[in-house]
Amino acid sequence: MTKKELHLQDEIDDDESNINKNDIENNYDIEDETPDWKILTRSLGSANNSNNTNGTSGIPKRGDKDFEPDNTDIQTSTLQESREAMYDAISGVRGHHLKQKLLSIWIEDEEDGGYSIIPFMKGNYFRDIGKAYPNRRYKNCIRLNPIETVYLVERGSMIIYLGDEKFTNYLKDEEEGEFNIEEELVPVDLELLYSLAFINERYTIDKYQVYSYLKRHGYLILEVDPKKQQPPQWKRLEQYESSKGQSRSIISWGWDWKKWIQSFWRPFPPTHSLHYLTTHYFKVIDIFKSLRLIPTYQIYDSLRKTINTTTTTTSTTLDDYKISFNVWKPGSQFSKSNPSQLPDYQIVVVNTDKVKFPTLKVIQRLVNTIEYRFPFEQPSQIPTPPVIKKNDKMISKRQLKYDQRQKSNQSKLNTAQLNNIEYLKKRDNLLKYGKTSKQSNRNVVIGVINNGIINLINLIENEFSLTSESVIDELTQLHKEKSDIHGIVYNGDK
Amino acid sequence: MAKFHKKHLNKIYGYPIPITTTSEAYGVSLPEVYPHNPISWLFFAYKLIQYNLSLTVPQSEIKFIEVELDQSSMFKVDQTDDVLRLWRRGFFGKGILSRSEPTWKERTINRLNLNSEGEGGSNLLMEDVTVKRREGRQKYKDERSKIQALELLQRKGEILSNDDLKLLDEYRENMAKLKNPNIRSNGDGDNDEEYIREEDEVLIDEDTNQLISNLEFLQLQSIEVFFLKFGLNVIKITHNQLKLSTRDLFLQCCQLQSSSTVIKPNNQFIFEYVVYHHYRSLGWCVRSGIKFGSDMLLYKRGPPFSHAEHAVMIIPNDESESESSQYDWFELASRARVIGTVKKNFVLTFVDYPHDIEDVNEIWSQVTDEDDDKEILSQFFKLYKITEILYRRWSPSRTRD
Repeated sequence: MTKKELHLQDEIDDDESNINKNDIENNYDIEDETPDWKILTRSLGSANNSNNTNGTSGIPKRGDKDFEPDNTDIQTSTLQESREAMYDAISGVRGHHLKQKLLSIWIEDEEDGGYSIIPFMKGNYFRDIGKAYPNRRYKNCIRLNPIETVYLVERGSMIIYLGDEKFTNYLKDEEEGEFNIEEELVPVDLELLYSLAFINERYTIDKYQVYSYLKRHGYLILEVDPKKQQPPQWKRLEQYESSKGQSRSIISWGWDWKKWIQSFWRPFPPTHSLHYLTTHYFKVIDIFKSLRLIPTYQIYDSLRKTINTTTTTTSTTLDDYKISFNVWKPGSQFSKSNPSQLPDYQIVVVNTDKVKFPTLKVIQRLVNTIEYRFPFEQPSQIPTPPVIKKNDKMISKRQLKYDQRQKSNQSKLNTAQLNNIEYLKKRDNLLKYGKTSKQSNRNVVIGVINNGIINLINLIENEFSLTSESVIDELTQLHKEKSDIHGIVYNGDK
Repeated sequence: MAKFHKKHLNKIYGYPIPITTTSEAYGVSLPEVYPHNPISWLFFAYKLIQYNLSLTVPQSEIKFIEVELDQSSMFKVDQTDDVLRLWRRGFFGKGILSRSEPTWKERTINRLNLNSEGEGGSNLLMEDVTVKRREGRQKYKDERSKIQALELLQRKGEILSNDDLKLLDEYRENMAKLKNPNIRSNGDGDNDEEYIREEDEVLIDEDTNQLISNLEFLQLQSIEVFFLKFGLNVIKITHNQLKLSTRDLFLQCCQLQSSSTVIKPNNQFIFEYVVYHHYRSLGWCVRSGIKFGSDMLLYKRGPPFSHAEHAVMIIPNDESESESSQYDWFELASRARVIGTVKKNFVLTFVDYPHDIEDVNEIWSQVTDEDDDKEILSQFFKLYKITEILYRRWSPSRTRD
């Protein structure tokens, strides 16, 4: 299967109704595929004997290749054509239009090691880059942090000069006349800029690598100020929970009655070895319910803990783990001045040489510091912008077929069945991603750097027991009868 | 076809746990209860009383499954009906001569053609399907290479004769047929020549032309055995002809991991069991994850229904020790990579454990004879706690929109 198909398969698999889609295929483990050595020796033998008469080597053939050499002229000429096209493209004159020439000045700074300013903003790099830098000389002046500076310079979009004392004085003072940056200041090359920019712990080359990697993929990134403290999440949770009171316990009261009646005929509690020998069970799910024994973590538990222990223990390890960037997807409605939309990813950058994989405590503390919106805080209806599908070609035939089949299948179902499908989808999404499509999950991305190589991993808080209140609320909406227990237990006897 | 197949599976594997419910045994069920309707309550109570007085609990009439712990610390289930019950109700254990489901006997009968009644081969076994599928793929590939050879000629500009063109069409048709082979239909299988090895003759009873005995038995993991004993109480376990109590079994299992008589609360067996019990109680079918470098695999219903969806790695939550864990990025990344390529979800299952207990044997110190082993152990297991964190690789190029 190709990557795309695999990906597609993932999406299809989300739907439980597809469980038996390819059931013959699905029954087997991957390790079925042991090599058949006979084939290998046969092809090797034949290659040796026939002295490569037909141009194939002794390597056994594995699947189809798109442009496998077949010694035809058509192939060579197509190759030649595309090669020439490439040379044409490269040999075009490259350069910047004078109007788009972007100048900046590097200014040394005690605190952060330095920054650069752009007196005259040009181009559309500044949707997420830079902050306003009010001064007496330039009106729309913008200040870039070292990471942003290096990114623009390395990209070839900006020329940078080394600011001197004369220039800083000029910025402060409005008396003197004009200052010609290009004539009076020395340009900085990339090498020097690297050594100027990454001298501070706040701006490391590791962070720059993650930053530029994501920027090149089109993501919008804002640095998280390490000094700025997030308003603690737990306050909002506490407020909500105290306002909600005990409404839930009254609802579940009715169900307790049922349990209570049944418990009359329970000579032994479920924790007794004779329980299953002496108790009538009518549903399999009740047996599973009675088996639940091991306490589990519920979402927000670690947050609730912080309510009780208000002391902020800032240990050294947590300092290694601090959110450095907030990242938005390329298509999101984002504006620097009003980042009301929650970031899609919140990233910590660590280096394998210095930091080990975090303990649970550290992961939980990190997750508690992200910008997060509780399900009860979800804005009721945000008009979502219409999704414009740019690349229709990307939809494969298989996807189209699948979509059509889905549609025709769904038209046959009644609302209860549709609801059930929706329920199963939600449940599986909760298990797989810790979230339903609408809700956001408590997760953090860790950018792991090993000698310049980046691995991004996403750690998501989750609970398989599906027993925390927010999860139950979410699922019960769709399946009222299941309000007392959610899970994957197969209800064959229903 | 698929629907039929699923129905067929549902019939065989309808019950996910080796406990027989009253509904299953007597075909009765309790009426629905509507919280706002008191009459439904009364009716419910009436039915409950009626059933409890008139019916015996079915589970009490089912004989215990016999498990033997042999000298090499292997847990064996020998008797065919026990093996079937364990496999069909929850997919416990593994047949030692099969891939997972103990099918050796059936396969051998099919292979040696011992079923004279002609029903042999009616149900195709998993292993057979694999063989057939491989054959089918090979045929498909052969056909494809023929087509490719002709196509190459065409591209080279060598004009094909009409015969060749016909041949090409024919090949293409064949290939299209082979693409979706109907493996379960048992068409050409019967033509296979029966082939009996010398050692096979020992297996066959000369008079009756039947298999002499089933050489295969079911092997269970220690956590499975302990779940069946402690959690469900459906097995009887013997070791050196002596019956083991839940407590004996617990100590035995813990000592499989570390031979010292002092059992620490961070014993590997206890961790594994706690996690195993957790997922079993949530309805997952839990099997070993050794094939994918993880500790456990979670199947939604079981191996015949779908691939495992989650791969679990157990991590003891050592809060007392230093803040950085003993796991490094490389180990976790490599596991995640393997698990990701087989489209499974990687779950890090952290287990909190009691730090103030020096030796687990302490829990027995104040026990009288009347106390139940299960109750004491249940209290102990409640000191553990499970937290799940999903580990997922993020590739930014794929999530742009």
